[in-house]
Amino acid sequence: MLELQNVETFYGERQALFGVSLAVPKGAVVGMLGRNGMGKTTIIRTIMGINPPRRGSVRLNGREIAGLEPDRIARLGIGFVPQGRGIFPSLSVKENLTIAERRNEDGTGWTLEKVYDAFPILKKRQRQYGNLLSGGEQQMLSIARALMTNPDTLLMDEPSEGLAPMVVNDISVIIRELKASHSVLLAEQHMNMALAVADYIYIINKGTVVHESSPEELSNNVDICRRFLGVC
Amino acid sequence: MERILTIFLIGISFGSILFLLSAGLSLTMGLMRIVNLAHGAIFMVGAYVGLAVTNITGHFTIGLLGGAVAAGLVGLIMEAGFLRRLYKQESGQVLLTIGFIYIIMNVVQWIWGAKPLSGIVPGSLSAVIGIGDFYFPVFRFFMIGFGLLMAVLLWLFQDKTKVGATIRAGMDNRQVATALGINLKRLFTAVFALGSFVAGLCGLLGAPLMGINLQVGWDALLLAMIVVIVGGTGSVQGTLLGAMIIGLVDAFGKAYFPDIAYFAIYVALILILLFRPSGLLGRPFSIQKTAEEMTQSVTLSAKMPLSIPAATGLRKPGARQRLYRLAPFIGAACVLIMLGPLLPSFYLGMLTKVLIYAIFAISLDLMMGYGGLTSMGHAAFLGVAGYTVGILAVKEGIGLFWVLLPAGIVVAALISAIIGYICLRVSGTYFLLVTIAFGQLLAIVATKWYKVTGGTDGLVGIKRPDLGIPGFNLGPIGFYFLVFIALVVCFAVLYRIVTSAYGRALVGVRENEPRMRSLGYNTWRLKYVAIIISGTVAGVAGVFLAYYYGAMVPSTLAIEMSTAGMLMVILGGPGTLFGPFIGAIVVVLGENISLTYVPDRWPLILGGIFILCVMLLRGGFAPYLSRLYQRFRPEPARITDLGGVPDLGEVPDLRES
Ligand SMILES: Nc1ncnc2c1ncn2[C@@H]1O[C@H](COP(=O)(O)OP(=O)(O)OP(=O)(O)O)[C@@H](O)[C@H]1O
Ligand SMILES: [Mg+2]
Repeated sequence: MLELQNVETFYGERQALFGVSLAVPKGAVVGMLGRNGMGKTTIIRTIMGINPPRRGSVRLNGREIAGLEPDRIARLGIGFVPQGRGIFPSLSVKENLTIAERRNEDGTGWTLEKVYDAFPILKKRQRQYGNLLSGGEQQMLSIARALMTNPDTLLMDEPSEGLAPMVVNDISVIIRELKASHSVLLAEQHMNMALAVADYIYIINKGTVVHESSPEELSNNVDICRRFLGVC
Repeated sequence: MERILTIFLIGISFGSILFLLSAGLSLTMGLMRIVNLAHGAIFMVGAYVGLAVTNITGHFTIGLLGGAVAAGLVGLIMEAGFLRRLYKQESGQVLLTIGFIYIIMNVVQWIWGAKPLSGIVPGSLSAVIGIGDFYFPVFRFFMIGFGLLMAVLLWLFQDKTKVGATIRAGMDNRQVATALGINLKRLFTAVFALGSFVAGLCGLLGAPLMGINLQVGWDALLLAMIVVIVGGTGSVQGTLLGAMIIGLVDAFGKAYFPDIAYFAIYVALILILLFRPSGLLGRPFSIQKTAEEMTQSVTLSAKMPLSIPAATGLRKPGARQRLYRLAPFIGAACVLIMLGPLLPSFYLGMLTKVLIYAIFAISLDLMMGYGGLTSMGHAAFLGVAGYTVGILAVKEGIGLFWVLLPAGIVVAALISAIIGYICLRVSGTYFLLVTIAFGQLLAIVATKWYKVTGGTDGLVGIKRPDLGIPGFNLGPIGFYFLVFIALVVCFAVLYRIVTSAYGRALVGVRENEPRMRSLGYNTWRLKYVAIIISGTVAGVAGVFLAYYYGAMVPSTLAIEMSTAGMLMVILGGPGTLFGPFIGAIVVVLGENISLTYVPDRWPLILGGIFILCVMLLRGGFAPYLSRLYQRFRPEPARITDLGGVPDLGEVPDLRES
């Protein structure tokens, strides 16, 4: 269980989050929707410890993680799928995966073989350099790389960004399959995708949560969609 | 043909040594994005310890290893004990390494003395091979073989192992690497120690080419730096290519153009900077910091007290406010005026020197403190002005102050316009390196251009300024007052500049250049103007320094002079103007006191002060002094008066207006 309470984050002197509270229960996919520049990435970077919050708390399974270094937070069981994918261009596909590798104590969980089974395309491309992959392949690599760290919770920042509709579908299938073993916090602008995979939705606007509900409820609430997402 | 082959082999063997020397620097620069300026000093430790171990054990191989281990240890202590504590504060880390140069060199001098030692070639490798009419030492082949072997090993390590992949990941994208759970701090320490180890390994090996003396610390740094800039940071192949190019350029230059051979490698450097600033095979370094990292640097520097004097005043200051703000300066001026006739001549001389250095320090502050352009070649501007005075006075017999002063200033301005143009091709740490290179280049010109500059002997016999007033001869007190007036004028001019809209924009560039650019500022021009003004004012200091010593020697242009200026700025407080003035007092007095009591240990003390200052006193003395002074303010607290008030929040607003 990942929980944020009244989180306020700043870039320099500029405040980007104004008291965000949200929760990602175990085994759930939680979606964050919001237009450009509303603070979704900032929430993810705050959880990750890249931009630690100035006020408020971030708890992972009851333990306060705000203020820890990002690598520490990652090792506590948070997997990071950054916006723009963050593939290392001077590493091969295989190296991108192996440098992130971290086994569970009991030896279970994701290994290179299992990841290759789940993403056969990565196995085919394993010798290529990261920057030569297509957008969809890069996104899969980014997700696979996060899985190699065997996290409890995955933070995914706009995995659908810049992908063809077909590929977005593939990614949605992957996220739904991951639900069995991982909790997921998913930042998205692609409303339909988020509604399709998420168990619960938060809408972020100007650094605060302005609405939260189940996906069904949200899809019926035309007013909210129009006001904060500019759709429907 | 045989001659060319021999020269080629000489170049390649020198290149091999250069590769070993530079590999570690390239690695740490690529990964940590800082330049370890003490890298040459660490190389020197390898040479000295290696020689000592060889002499004790009688084995050259053990000597090589001993030198490498010693150098690796020094690197380990530096990183784990000091640099790590300044994590993410890259400029602080770079400055810290300067302190280590002084300390390492002085400790080496303490143990082994200042006399140069000679390198050794083990008996088994001392033979020579005949190539046609030429002879070539076997030891050189050993250098080539060893260098190439290490290149292959390092390449395998970096490109084929998991640790190597982790290092490359850290170079590609630090943020994502850490967020995947990689402990970059540990990696930094390991890589830093490894780089030092490799440099130490070739200290003794390269001794027949580089020598074993105290100057090697600087020489090796310059060579490694040039190799890394030419080849590009972060890749073994790039470093190897850069090293071989420089080795060959040097060898062929010495063979065919012996008169200008010393410049050949600098020409290579400048060409690369002009046409390929990221190096032949390098990853772009420092040039493209991501937006995230830019903002992080804002957050960090917010901890460092900065001052933007009077910039945030909301109302026009009243008469009382103005008096309050000016009082310390008026007070200081009164003290300086009264000291003039009162001090015995020895102390008056010292005080004159303080004032000249103060001009130099405040000029550097404009670039470094306000513009964020950390220069380690500032002595170049001071030096060319001084030499202009020297050449005109000694060689041409021109005595009139009113000719010499403008001549020196104009030359300094011209040189800073040229050097500044090339230096601004790069930014951040690279900028620092290029300024070092230019300073050194000019020092070499001064040494080699014997006819004009007098070579190492310098130009001697510059008389006190002739003001052109019949029957009036300037004595020591008169000269002191002349310097005093120059300081007041320079201070006033710089003060006007930093408090103007231009000055505030310059601070904006220092804090967040992309943002200033997006606000429509021509940030390149802002920086370029800062360099020219800064160089011009340094020229004023140079003119007076030439008069002060009555002579000009090449060391006035050299890197030690530049670092002394830097120290004054850092110690006193960058971005405050009055701070560097205080820094100049402390450094010049400190040097004199120490020369009286512990004549040989001044660099050690200096290095210690430098390190303490960077680690504990970020922002120097100035903020403390101004806070102290603010207790005496006449009206209830307002944000700025004297300066020294950290309030970065205000900066963006100013820029927008
Ligand atoms: N590095 C930064 N420095 C300063 N401000 C930033 C930085 N990154 C983001 N911001 C600001 O913080 C706010 C939130 O940005 P954030 O990137 O979190 O939005 P987002 O919801 O992820 O947008 P997008 O959908 O475009 O990715 C924006 O106003 C943005 O301008
Ligand atoms: Mg985003």
